[in-house]
Amino acid sequence: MKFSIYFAFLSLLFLTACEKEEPNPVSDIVDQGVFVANQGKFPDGAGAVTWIKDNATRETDLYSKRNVANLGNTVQSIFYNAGHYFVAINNAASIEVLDKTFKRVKTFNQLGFTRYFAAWGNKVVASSWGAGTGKGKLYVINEALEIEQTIEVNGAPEKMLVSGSEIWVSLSNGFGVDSLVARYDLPTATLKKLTTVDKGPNSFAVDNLGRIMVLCEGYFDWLNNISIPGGLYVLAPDGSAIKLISVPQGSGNLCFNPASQTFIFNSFSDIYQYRFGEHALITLALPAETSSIYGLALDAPNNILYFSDPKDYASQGTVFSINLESQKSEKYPAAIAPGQIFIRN
Amino acid sequence: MTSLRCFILYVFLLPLVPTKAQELSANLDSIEIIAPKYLPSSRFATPADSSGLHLFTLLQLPGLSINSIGSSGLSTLSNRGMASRHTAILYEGVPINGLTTGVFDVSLLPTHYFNRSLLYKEGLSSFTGNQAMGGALSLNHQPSGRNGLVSSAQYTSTQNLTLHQLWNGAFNKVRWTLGWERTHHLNQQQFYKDLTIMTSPSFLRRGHNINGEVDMELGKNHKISAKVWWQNFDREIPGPFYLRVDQFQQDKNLRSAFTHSWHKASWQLNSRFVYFNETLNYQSPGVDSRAKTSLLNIKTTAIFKKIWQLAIALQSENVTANFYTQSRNRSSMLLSMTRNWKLQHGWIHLSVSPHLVNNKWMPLHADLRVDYRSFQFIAIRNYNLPGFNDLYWPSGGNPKLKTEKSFQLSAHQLWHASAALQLKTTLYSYHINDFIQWVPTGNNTWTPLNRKKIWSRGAEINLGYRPDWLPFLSTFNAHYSFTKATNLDEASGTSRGKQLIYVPLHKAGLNIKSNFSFLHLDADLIYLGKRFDTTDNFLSLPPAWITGATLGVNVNIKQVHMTLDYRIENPIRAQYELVRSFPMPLRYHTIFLQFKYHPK
Repeated sequence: MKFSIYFAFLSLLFLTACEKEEPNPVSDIVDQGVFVANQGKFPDGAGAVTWIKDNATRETDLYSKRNVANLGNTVQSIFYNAGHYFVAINNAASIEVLDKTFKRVKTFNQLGFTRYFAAWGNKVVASSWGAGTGKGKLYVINEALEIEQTIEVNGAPEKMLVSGSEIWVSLSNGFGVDSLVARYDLPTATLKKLTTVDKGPNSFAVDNLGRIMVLCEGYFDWLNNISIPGGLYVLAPDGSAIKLISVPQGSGNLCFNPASQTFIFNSFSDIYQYRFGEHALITLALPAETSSIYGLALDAPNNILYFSDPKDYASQGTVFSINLESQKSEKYPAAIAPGQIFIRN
Repeated sequence: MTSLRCFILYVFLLPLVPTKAQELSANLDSIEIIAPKYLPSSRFATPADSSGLHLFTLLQLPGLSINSIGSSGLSTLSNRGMASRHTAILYEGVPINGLTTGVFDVSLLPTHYFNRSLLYKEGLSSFTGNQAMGGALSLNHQPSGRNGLVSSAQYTSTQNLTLHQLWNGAFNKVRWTLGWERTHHLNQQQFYKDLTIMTSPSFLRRGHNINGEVDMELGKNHKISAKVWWQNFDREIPGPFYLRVDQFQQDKNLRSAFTHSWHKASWQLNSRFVYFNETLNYQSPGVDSRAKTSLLNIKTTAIFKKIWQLAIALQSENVTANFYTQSRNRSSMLLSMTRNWKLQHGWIHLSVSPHLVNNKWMPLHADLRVDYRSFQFIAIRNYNLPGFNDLYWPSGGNPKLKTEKSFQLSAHQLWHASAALQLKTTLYSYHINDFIQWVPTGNNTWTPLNRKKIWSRGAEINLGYRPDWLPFLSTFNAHYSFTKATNLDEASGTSRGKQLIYVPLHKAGLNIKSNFSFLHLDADLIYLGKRFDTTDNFLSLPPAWITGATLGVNVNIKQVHMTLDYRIENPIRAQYELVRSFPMPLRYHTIFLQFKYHPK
């Protein structure tokens, strides 16, 4: 009798063992659409990439569907260039390289706090913060998917803009407060110019006349509980910067809309339009259910603006689209804390 | 509404069940000075014998959850769907939850020393003050009562070494205990990531716990005791999936208590002086936080004929942290009055506790406990203060936060079908208003707001069976708990009506202990149901089966008692996470060797 009880108990233990099902192979080409980098639940959640195509969310977590794996903690951004997708995973200090079917090709590890990408021909430049007050880095990844060059920068590099063989790098707030834009010559990895702007430069845009604009987000002074506004600058070819207008603190994701000849960016609660030379910002009307704005990108050929709403950062977020011509809006379910948006047409 | 009707029906029907009155538990002497020794809830306190080889013993308790950042990070307890900051960890009746965060890391507990801890499932704020709204784990050491020396060593295949020494002594009317526990844990473990078995790098956690206590009887009426607990730990905290992310934490905590009790005729007077001094430093890329906290608690309790009890406590808390703009203080005066009425088959207890915090009266604590035969009904009104970080965090701290308030109802029934079979059942319903939640606001900041209304209700069943027909001593314990904890807040959008994160709807466990002559066996099986980890229940962690078994031998050679145990954890190599992205270890093994020496 005594043995039967133990036998039953041990049987229960072993009956609980289970095996994971093998994934079904999927060979769909991920050719175009809207890609959203979902940061995941901080600090313990895995991030995801949401794929929106043909006015519908095709996958809320495309990577895990195609790889039976998680991307890791805090997905910062996604990018595509020369046949590969690149995903920066901030807390995991890594970059995932994926093929056209979104299958993993290569992982770069130990790269610091990876942030954003820019294309330099068929090469890709990735920005990365250093730890604490440590220096940030730019990694140049070549077509063979090797890091062929590492450039140390004196700050926390955010978004970048490649112009010919030069790259403009916004040295943003990172773990401190910065106010510099750096211009590097890429082939020689040399610093050409450092330009001081408002606090927190974070994104660039080029208008139809080739003028390079940089957006600064300002910063929040915790000690005095004061919000310090940022500014929108135009960068002259010699590297000097001219402030065009003050912008609300927290502004980011600058882009240019050729259809309306305006620059578009967002703060935490609003989306703004700015026309070069004017002295006021225009606030766009948002769908009523918007709670906040985290990422923003423009599908210029179709004149559709996309922005992400992370809600409480702990539930399923939403991506909204607004057709800037018809003002028609749509919404698409994303994953947790949707942020940066990348559009591939 | 149907649930509420069922609950009311249950409450009124339970007293009709014929049951046998039980004696109160006798091992509660050091639980809480303000409460009478016959504190009614003590009968339903669950002994949480943490002297075993593993902390997961606590998971065998119904309704209790552990949220662990892997096997080597922060581990906190939560009870019946309440938050970790609502579950007090008590040392000498005073919560040792961190003043800044409100939570306590149970992974640093000297589990060998606290060999007789008790878990109070009901809110205890009326007796202990802040942070016990969701119950309390009272840490206790039960001395052997005679001279003796205990030495033990424990080594796991994850390369964790723990050494432990315990010295019990007695001379005339003086009794002392000295405990020392040294840990050197590398936490190198196997885990699943993306269907692949990986081995984590080492994450060193090293440090020691030193505990000491002295009791002395002075004449016939006086008794004094002094206790001290020193903790000093350094550790590296892993990132998700055991990535090295350069997170380090140092904990240095000094906790001390001095108590005096006097009794004569119908009077009893207890006094207590408690002082904590704690340091918590945390470094990670971009963060270098350093906090020093201190707590001073002086309390006197007068008891008359076990009928009346009056207590007054003065408490001062201070936090000096490099992330606050200035040093922060909180002063409290905690008053409590308890009246007990003796019934023919039970007691009625009523406590009222006005608390004055920073010169402001808090919502009145009220605690009604009806103890009739083996049935108990409890109605409690509790509150919980915001933590210092909630109030003073530089980027978003909200000094205008109100206290969280709760109204808690529970009904308990003990059934003794026979001397061998015991069944405990509980139904409960907790309402919390002004639940503090950090929410994103403008300027990319987060701020805590009194936003949510929470309703946690559920049932717990605990079955104990000690068969007398077996030729050897065996006990079987099984439990099941159903916890429905939802957010009732109108403004929460898609989160409204959804289960709170990391609260399993279903949890069950089975434990078997047996002794055959010099052999002993202990086997655990725990089922942890699906747990949501997003507020709208969009994502969830799958159910987990947690298993383990111990086989040991006891050998007595004259005055030396030796124990050699082998334990296997997770023998079925189950893949599970208590917190997302922090997988728990696959199968690992532990060897435990202990010598006890008791001279005649």
